[in-house]
Amino acid sequence: MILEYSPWLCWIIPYIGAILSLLFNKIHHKLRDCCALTSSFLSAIFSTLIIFAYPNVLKGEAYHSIPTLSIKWIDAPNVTLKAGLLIDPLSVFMANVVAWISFLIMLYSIGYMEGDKGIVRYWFFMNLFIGNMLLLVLSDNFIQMMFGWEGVGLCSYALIGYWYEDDEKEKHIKWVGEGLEEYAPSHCGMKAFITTRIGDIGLLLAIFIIFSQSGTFNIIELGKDLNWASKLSNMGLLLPTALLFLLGPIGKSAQFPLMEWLPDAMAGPASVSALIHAATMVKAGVYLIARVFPIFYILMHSGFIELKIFFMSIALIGAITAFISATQASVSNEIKKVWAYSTVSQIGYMMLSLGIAGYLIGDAMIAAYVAALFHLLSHALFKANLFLTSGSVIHSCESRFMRDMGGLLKLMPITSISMLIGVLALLGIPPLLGFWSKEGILKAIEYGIYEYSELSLIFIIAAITAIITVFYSLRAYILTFIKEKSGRVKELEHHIHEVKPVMWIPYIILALAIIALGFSVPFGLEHKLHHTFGDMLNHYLMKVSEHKEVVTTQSYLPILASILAISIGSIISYTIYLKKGNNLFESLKNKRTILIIQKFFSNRWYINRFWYAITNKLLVLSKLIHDKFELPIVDGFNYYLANFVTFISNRVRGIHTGVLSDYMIGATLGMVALIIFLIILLGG
Amino acid sequence: MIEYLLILALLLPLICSPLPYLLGGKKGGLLSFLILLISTLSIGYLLIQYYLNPNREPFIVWYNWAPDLGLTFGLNGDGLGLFMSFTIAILALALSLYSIEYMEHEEDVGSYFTLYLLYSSGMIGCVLASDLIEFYLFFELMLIPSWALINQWGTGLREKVAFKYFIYTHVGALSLLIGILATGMLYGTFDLFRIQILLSKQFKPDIIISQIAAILMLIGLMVKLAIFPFHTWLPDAHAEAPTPISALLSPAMIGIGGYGILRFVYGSYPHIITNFSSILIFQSLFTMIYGGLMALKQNDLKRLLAYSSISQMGYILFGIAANSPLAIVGSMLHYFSHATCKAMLFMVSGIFMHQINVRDIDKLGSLASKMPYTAIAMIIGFLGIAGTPPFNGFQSEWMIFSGALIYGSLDKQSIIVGLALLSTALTASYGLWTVKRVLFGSKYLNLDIKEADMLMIAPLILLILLTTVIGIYPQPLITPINSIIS
Repeated sequence: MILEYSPWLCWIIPYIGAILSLLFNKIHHKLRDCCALTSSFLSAIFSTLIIFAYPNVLKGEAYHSIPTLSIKWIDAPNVTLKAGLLIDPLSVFMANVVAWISFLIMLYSIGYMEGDKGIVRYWFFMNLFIGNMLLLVLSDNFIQMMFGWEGVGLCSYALIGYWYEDDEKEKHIKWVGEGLEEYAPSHCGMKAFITTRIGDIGLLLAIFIIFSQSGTFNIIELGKDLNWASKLSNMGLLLPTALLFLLGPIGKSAQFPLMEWLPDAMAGPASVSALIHAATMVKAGVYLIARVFPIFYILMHSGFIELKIFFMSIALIGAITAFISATQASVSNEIKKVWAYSTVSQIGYMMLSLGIAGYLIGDAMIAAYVAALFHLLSHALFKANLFLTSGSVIHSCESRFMRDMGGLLKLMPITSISMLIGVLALLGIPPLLGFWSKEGILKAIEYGIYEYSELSLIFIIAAITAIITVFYSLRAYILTFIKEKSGRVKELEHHIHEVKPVMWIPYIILALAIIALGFSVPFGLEHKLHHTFGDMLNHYLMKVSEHKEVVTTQSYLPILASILAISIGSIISYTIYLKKGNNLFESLKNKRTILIIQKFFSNRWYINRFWYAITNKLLVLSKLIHDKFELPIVDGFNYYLANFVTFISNRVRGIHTGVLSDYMIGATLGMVALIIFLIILLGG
Repeated sequence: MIEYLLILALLLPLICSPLPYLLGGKKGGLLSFLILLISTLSIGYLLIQYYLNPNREPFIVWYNWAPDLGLTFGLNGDGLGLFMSFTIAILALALSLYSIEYMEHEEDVGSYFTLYLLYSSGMIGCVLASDLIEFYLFFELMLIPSWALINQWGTGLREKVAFKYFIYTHVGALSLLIGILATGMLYGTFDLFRIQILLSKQFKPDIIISQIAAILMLIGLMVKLAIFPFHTWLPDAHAEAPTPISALLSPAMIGIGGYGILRFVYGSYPHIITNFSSILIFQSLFTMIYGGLMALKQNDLKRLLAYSSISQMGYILFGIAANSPLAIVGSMLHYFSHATCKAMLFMVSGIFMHQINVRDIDKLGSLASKMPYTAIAMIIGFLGIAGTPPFNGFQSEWMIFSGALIYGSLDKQSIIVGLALLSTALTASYGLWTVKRVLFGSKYLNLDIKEADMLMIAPLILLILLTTVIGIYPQPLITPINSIIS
């Protein structure tokens, strides 16, 4: 009985936990922490129980608008809204990834945030964050989804700017960036919220446009009755609407050109970064695209050819973002920022794969779609691991800069091994999970090339990005753990030791999961995913060819590319950072072109500056209008009018002399004038 | 019994208004709180009755007032009237509590509360009026006490500002009056119900005079609504009024302009008003963006809020002008959203003035840890008007914007709605930027600043709860608003 309601409980429990942890704080701090952790754990349990309550999910079936899953919500003219949940493989998959990884992060937080004075606020928003993300992935209509969507934005605002006092003394831990691009936490929170909000304008507008033609916000209904699309297409608005829709995910998932908020989101605590990057927030954009993928796919394949541009944009934006951020990651000096750029880049891969899936048919399409989700899973695992381990390192070294680290391998053995597994997964060493998922994406691109040879350009970009990925992840690992100890580490050497078990247990679990799942791929994990999602897609797509066996005929190109990328990348980072007596590096280091490129990368391709310039222009414009138009002209008009009246009355006042004879003359003159006037009037 | 509740809610504050003057000081404040509590509860009771009763029967009270002149005195407690008066009553209630503490050190607090009660009943009367002349009388009844309140207890150049406010809005009211008189001539009655009966009988008033009358009424109400270019009285008045009065002026009073347009101008001239809708949409869009841009630049917190109100009034007019049921419901719901959130924000700025005696943004900073409740209210207030769920601003804004797309040519409308949505991003920008400058950072961390008294915090908490509950489940308010659609 209660099982049937597990989808509701799954997202409501974190909300309750958030509120209860506020109340329990008044009683005892242990009780409060316990409550926060328990609610996250229960929510994870219920996310898994969904599978047992709705077992056909594993066969690709979708449950929606059944009584247990929907209730009346808003009844306004023109629209009746039901609050409802959608249970299908995609939402259950996402819910499980989100809830379980979040739970591990919450566990880590017990140690990491211990003694922080804002901890009540921390637990409240962390739980709210999880609840919102689960609501987002489980919602069956856009308005309800927006509660989760904007809700994660709100929580990210609160948590990125968690250390809102912007303490100058703790700049090296709690701020982000250097030089011109150094920002305080409160600034970064605001930046994140506003940037994603700009993307949401497009998303909301698209949702409203679709609603105006279809009369519904329900995602399933939109996919069933496609009349709205032909109406839009007749007005030439289908493609613009689709592209506007895309803006939302671009903002939320930090894709080009709205990606600049994410690297700066590193101003929050490491656990928050882990939550934002691994489980919640940035995955929302990928999820949303995956969610509406069937709708746009059917449309495109049933004659609305213009939507090709929609899928092409997803793929292109993904590829461009992947490349740009990878280059930025390779010159970053802060450990968390390396992983942040890397997240942007990896999400680019997922977008790329989803975009290409739109071009493919049958099994190849399913393979590309699954590759994106599979990469989402593996990225969630290794990125959570990387952020949590980095958090431990920052915690110990009391600095976010890698130049203050080095030589931690022996001081923090568990952390270093755990991070090594994360790094190896990121760069795609077989048989770790990252290898399979990245290969899946490369394979998807390869399928795409069979259809459209133009996509080989994207394949090349993806491969180059893979090389850079290997380079920057090894670089970060070497600088942190292997290179000789920095001054700060030497100074603090006696204080640096392995962190508490409550902190390392979560990332060890993550590392083990990376290994275990990686080993289970050859035994059918990916195959299983392929089947389930394949069934789901066939269910949604109706007409598209039914499920066939996984394509086994494939070239060795993806594997070759992966292996080449790994070897080239690791050779480069080895020669630059590890090889002793390295003349090549020294000679390269001072080359002008290298310096210029490095400067270009570390200035974030000037995209960040560009946005700031626009913001400043807006402020200048606002001041200009206010000073030159609003005050002197619009408001000034009142005073001109008043002065004008005063002016007239001053003139007229002159004849009020107070002398009786003057008034008599006036009266007589007036009388004469009146008589003349009457004569003229009557005579005429 | 039930039929007297409405007139009780309206007349009790009016009749009892001299009492606080006689009692004076804090006692007068508490008495006004009690009086407004009775008003709020009786309207709230009617609202709940209306919501629960499936027949949705309106509560209409109707008296012959001056039959020779064709005047009636009616209280139109249909869903919308109840909703509006409830919003006003609950704001007035919350702010009366707040005023007790805020006005503590001022002189002559007794008369303050007398005027306060008059002002509140003027607003309640305005939204309950069923007769055009009655509407006008209440319209002036809310103007005069508010003028006196600004003149007497305002800050800065209060007399000059009060004068400007009076002249400006009074000229607007005169324009409204001429429009109303012309309407009375055309229809032979000032009673809205009779006008509607006439209209349903295919009565066709003279087109040209109707148009002139409609325009005059529109202008009069747009002055109150502070739509560009009639907005210049507002930033001064809102900034210099005593803060509880700013918090009533801005969310409750100016929005009545929008209600008036919907109820009286649309009600009397439904066939003519649609001719103006494209002008109105353009004007409201411009007001939204213009107000937001001006708010971005302000350094005085209350002035910033004032410009933000101008921008928000653009949303209300936008929803009405979009002429689709969903947008109209959204726009009236936005009256409520804006009322709760903006009242909260003005109260917050009042708390700063009361506790630190500063309202310049650049002189404020790092208050989040000193004043946690105030800080939460400020953040929620700004997020609410920026339309972030789970606060009620989101509900009203999606209704306005999706409603605006239902009718009319979609490509033109979507550009307009896109621009309007852009202004929500603008709202979020100036809101969060202000929050950052006022609440965060470590500029004044060492100063000894205390959280405000419970009497000032309690109303904030009430509004926060309202904002969130209605944001999650708006149906109790949507059902009453729906009554206007038929």
